[in-house]
Amino acid sequence: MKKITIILSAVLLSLTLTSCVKEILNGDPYTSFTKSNYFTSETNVELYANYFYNEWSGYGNSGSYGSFYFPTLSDNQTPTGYTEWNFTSVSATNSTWNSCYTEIRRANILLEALPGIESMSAAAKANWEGIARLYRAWQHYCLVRTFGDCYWVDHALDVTDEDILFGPRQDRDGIMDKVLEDLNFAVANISYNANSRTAYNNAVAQAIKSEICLYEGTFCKYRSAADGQKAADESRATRFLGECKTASQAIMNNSNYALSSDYKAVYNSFDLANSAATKEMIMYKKYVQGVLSHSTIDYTCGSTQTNGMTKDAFDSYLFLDGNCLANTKLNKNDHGRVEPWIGGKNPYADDRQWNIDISEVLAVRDPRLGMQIDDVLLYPGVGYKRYGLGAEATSSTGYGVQKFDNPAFTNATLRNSIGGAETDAPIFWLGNVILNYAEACAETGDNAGAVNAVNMLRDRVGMPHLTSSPAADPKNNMGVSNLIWEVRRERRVELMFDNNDRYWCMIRWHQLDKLDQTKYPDQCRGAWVGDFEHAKMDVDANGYIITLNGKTGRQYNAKQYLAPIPSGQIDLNPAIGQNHGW
Amino acid sequence: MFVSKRFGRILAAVCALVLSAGSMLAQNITVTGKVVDKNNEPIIGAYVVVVGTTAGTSTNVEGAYSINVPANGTLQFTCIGYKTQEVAVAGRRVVDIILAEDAEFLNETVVVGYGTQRRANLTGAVSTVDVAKTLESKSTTSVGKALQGAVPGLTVLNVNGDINAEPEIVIRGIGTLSNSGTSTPLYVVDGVPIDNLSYLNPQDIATISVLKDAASTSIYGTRAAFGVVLITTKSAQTTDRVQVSYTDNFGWSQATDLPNYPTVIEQVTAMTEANNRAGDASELFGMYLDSDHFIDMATRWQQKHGKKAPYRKMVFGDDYDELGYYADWDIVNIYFNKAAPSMNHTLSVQGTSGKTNYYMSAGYSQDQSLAKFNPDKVRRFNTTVNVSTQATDWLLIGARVNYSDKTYSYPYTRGANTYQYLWRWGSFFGPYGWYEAEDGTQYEARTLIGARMTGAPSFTKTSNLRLGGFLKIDIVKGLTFNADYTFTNKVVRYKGPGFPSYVLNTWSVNPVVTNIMSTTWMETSRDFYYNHVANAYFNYKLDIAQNHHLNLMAGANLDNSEYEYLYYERHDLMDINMPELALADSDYSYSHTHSHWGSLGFFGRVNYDYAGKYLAEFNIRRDGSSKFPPKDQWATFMSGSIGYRISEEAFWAPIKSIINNAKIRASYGEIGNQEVGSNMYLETMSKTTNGVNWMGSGNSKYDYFGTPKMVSESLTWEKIATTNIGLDLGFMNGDLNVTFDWFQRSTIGMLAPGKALPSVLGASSAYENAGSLRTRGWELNIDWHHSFGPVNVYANANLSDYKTKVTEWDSNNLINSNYTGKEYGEIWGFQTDRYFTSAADVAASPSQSKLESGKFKYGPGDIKFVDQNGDGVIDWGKGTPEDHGDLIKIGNSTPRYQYSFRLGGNWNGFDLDLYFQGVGKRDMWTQSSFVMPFMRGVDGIYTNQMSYVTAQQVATENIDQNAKYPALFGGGAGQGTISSSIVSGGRYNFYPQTKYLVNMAYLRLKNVTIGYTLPHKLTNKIKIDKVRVYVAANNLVDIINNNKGTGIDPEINTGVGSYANGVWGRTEPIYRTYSCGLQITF
Repeated sequence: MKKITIILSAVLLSLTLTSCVKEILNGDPYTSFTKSNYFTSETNVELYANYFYNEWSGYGNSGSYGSFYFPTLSDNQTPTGYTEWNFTSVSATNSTWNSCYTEIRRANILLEALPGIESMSAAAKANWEGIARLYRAWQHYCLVRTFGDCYWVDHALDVTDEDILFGPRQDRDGIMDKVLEDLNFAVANISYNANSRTAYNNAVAQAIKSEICLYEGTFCKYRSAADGQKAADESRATRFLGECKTASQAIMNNSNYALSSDYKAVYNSFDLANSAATKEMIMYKKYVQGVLSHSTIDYTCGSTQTNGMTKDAFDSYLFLDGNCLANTKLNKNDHGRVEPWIGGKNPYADDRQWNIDISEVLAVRDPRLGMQIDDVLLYPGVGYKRYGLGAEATSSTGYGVQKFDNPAFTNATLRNSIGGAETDAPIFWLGNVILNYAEACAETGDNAGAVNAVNMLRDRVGMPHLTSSPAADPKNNMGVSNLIWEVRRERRVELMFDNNDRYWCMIRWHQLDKLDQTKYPDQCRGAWVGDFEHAKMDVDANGYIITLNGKTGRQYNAKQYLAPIPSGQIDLNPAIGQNHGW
Repeated sequence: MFVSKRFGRILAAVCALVLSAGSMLAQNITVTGKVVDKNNEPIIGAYVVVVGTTAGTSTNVEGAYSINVPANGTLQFTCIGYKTQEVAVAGRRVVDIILAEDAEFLNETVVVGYGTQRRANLTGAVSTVDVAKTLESKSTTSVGKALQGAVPGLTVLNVNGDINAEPEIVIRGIGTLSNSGTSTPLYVVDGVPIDNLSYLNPQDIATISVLKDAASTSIYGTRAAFGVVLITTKSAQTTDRVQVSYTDNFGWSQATDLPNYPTVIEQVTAMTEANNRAGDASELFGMYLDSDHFIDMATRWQQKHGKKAPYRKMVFGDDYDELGYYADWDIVNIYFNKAAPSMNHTLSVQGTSGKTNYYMSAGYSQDQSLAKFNPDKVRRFNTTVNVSTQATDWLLIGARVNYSDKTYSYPYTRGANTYQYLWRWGSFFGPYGWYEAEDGTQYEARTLIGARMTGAPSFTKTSNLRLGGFLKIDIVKGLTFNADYTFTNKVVRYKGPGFPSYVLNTWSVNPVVTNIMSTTWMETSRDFYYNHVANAYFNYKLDIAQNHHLNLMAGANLDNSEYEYLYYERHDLMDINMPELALADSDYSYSHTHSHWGSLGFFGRVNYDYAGKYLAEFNIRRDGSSKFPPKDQWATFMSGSIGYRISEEAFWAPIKSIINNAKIRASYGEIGNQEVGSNMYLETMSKTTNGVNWMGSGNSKYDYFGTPKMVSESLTWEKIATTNIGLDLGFMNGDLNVTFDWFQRSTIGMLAPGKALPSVLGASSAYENAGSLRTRGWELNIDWHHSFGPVNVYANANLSDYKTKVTEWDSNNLINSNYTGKEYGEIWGFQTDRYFTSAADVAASPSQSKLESGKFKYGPGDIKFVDQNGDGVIDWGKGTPEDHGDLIKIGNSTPRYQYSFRLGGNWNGFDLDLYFQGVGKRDMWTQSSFVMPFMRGVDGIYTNQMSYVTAQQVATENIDQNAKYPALFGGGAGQGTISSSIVSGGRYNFYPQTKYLVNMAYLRLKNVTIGYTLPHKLTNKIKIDKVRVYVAANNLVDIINNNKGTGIDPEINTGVGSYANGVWGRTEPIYRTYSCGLQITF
């Protein structure tokens, strides 16, 4: 009996265990949602859309490079040696191509989910639709300016979307028209966070629209069929430049925004919520030590040579009399003061003893130059401890970049630590928008509008006003009017080292040949050091630092206007085709 | 009916009468005697039975017996491990006997799924591990590592010497390409799956069986698709007294191979050539390597010191000054310990009390890494209690408790593994001496030494507790019911504080003492695993007539797991001596995951044998798994095997004396594989805490939910079908046994990414049951042993090989991805021709311009590739199997012809065991800085890389074709201009190619052990059964090592960080260990 009881209980127990089959075989995850149960509230929409902020690298994240200072493919900056084109051959993959389409999918999934969220009001839906479309527009713009023709994708693609997956690329102009539709929707519908300076809001939409339309307007105006592009299209250019002006004006007329009295505060504030530049910020990226920090200061004052300002850029600054280098009546001398070290004295007692002093050279030039580079030269041999702190920095050109540095950042260790800095980064700001406006005006013949806008920026740094008929600069090699040349100069000196702006300007102005270093060798030259024994640098016959070290440097080829379509994508879809020249 | 029944009774009565009459004819006498083995040692517990009766007894501790037996009767002596012997009494009163060891092993019991089988009756592909030779008297504490080469078809790869790492183990190679190719076998310990062998104390193991074919593993269902390693621990045996054993081992380890550096001047000369070629300054952290000052100082240092510097204080003006570091540090001897100690101890007790048997053991082991400074340490404590009691004559119940506690402790080295930096730069730049500040304080330089010495103590503690109970009920004769339940709880505790770390910051032109850890923090995590396994099955053993033997088994199995992970990090410790979450000031981040999975299976098995001659087995199992969508959750899989012991046939008799045993086996079976990853069929959206690099107005980074992944509408089991054909042969009276298996394993409906789609899709393609894989291979085991009088010798050899082919792959058809027809592991690359001799030679040769990128242009002294298709251009076509341009298959990374052999013997208490293990053929494309110079920019260059085409040769176009390396250029690692789907990384001169492929074939003396067992007569006087002392060495000699020059051990196949940074080989070195130990039983 006992035996039977035990056997029976054992069998029953086994049966009980197997009866919880449903429970055991239920595979629903505990800590993740699925697409079908996630989009149920505005809170969830917001959490999903948070990823859209990752787009803005600002000064970088921890050790990674940001979009300020680090991109050196332009005539403004050079490392030792030189910066090669982004592509010299067809690569297999391209991170822009991949990431933009990944992000477009992200936006489209939200756009498709929004209508079904019952708990959200129409206004809320419109706001988020605006943000998602703004983001989608931005991603398409990034694709078009990099690759030209690509694909307009307005829904989350499935394997059945063969016309896009395996079809030929679409005309860039058509895509940019769609981009403008998205931008206009965003501008009309984004209503949240009007007073925030760290969130997507209507002004951010206007700023993005301003930038994209300036790009599209000027690009279409100057592009050339001779270089494998579509022929210039004046009416299209005018249309987009008009849209740029509208968007820019919306911000310029918004009392929420005002130019900072302090140019540098835009770039080196510890807290852009409470800074001289606060009102200039449309959107900025906040950094806090130990949470999210960056390395833009470390890399401009660390031991490895900084990518210094080129002689070409240095010479592009106006003098205090409002004239360019060729025309100025002021002292054109660019040789710094050499104060050789007297033997026996500790070379580190006074940091300046070993460095060539250029403060007098800077004193007669546009003050923005002195706000961006050090007033002594730094070079291998002996570096320079900026503000007497941290490591001895050196620069590839002698001109050290101090635009992003702040004398109040006194922690010597953090200054030289990867991810040590916590100054906030501007992402969209009024100064930039004013430059967009000035250029759109100049390009559409509104000279007064252009001059007024430029002078807003000149006023804050105390530079003489631009007139609507400026004197000719013999360096004007872009084939544009004196006024446009000056507007472009203003953009260059104001946005020096910012956001890779110069490179994209050269593309949209169709001036990429000006980045050929065999023709414009000053892009690989730096400061004058003469035969100063402590400057262990290669110098040219005139005593200017030369970074090329016997190399030819970057050479222009028209194919550089567009990045090559990655070969991996061509392998998957031969109909995609390759860009001109690749 | 009535008549026949009565007739039966009469017949029985007559028989009984005849039998009893027979026994009455002979007089019963009492026979005594002693049963010993060939060494005259008593055999305890041997059965002595009177043939033809049930009368029997067993031998006592002295091996003595006493039995009543007819004077003309026959005695049969049986004991497991010995040949059964029958002796006619013939009126003798004393019958002493020497039992011969059972050399055939055919009667050996082999542990199989849910049961045991006689080896003679096995029809599947099952290998057993010789536990005594493999695990006892070894310095290793890792069961996994010890299994290397132990059975054919089991691949154990030690990719580095990390003391806390387990080797990669697969049976018969990769079985699936889904779930990152996870093809790990199922480890079953005492009937219950275990996720990791590292919890086991090798000394507790009784048997290890490796089940290889589907017919053997299918009873375990969907987790056993890629073979099963079945382990039983020492369980309670009936003994006549308490037996206590103690074993220990003390070992001292050193690296087998290490890279080294040439002189500083040689290093900087090479670095300068590479930098100059790229047009870059020859600069390193602000040091100008080509400056007169640097060269002067380094030369002066070399002349003054003449040899490399040991770890000592750095002298300003000699070792360094404000412009650089000049000393040539002896990194190998500064960093590595030549005798890193390790030890292990195990104490076990077993005995019987009444009807209860018990086995208890406790083990402790510790091991440390080779670093001299603050080495990593692993300490493990194990305890096991196994108890069983025969509660009634039909009920056996028992319990097992296993607890293992492993602590891995190490200094927190800024989140970066030491090896990321150890070999990265030159021997002058570490630096590896210390710096004395003006106040006399000693600071380490910003090196791995500084990081290790100032790193906060971190640890990972793993506690694994298994509680199990089992019962066995004899219901009626032949029918038993077995049930068991085991609960496993594993907790992993990680604690990683971050402390200030003050070092001399040498990553700067003018070094200053710096705190390289700017924040203090405490991060900690907990992993909790809960696992419930229950098994219940009936077994019915049935003999029909005389020759039909049937065994039926049916049961159910349940496996349910839950996993939870918690991570928390808080910053700003209030006191670094009290690194606890509660005592940190600010919140930083947390993470939490919680998951569960379960499976349920019903299974049945039928074994049949006819007269031990014809053997058959059939298995069926129906499985349900939570890993699949409800409609695809259940599936049924079947397998079967047959065997034919041809040697038992009458016609075999003439040759039976030559071939004592011959068996042919064949099996076929299908199993489902559920280990395909989690949530594969769900469009999951997960939260990433602090995942957005944006802060808004708050003080923490934004969280976000990611995009749902694309999934296929239907997703179900991968099906693994295995065919196995085997042959077992025994020769020389069982002294020589040969086992051969051939197999084919097909993985059908393998979960694979759907057809690769252009990136415009914005997501990875959904996974589908879209691929197929096929592995074919063979395994051979030869085992020989023989006694020459007092000398016993043995030799054992294993050899196996397999090839895996992708038989179906829908996704993109590119050669470095998977494609239909691909041989798994194949390496594509160019065939190296020679170096270009001149600019004119480059111009006249097939153009390699498609391979150029960045500042690199092919010129004299660079690699010239063979234009395979003669089209005048070196390219890769479409990168498809049909059109691959000049790319060819240059090798294969699958280890081929894996082999091992063991030679040994014993004589008069001395024993010797030599164990060799090797891989016959294997290639590896590494991108490694150790294999090719300057793969990660212009970092460091090593002793074996001094033969290169110099800048002087390039300038004069006088190229030395015998130079080992082409003209130097930094940054050869990383993807070149060809997609990684077409060819692996490596660019400029170092695209994957024949010349720089690493040959990973090797043969090494894995272990040599010399032992001595004290004579029993001697030890017996002090009541000790056995005392053995031994010395052993692991990895003593390499007989084949093609990799010698690089300083990388031939087994190493990993590196810290991205391979595109040339890190392959930068890892914990594999070590050679000398050890000694003691085994006592009393």
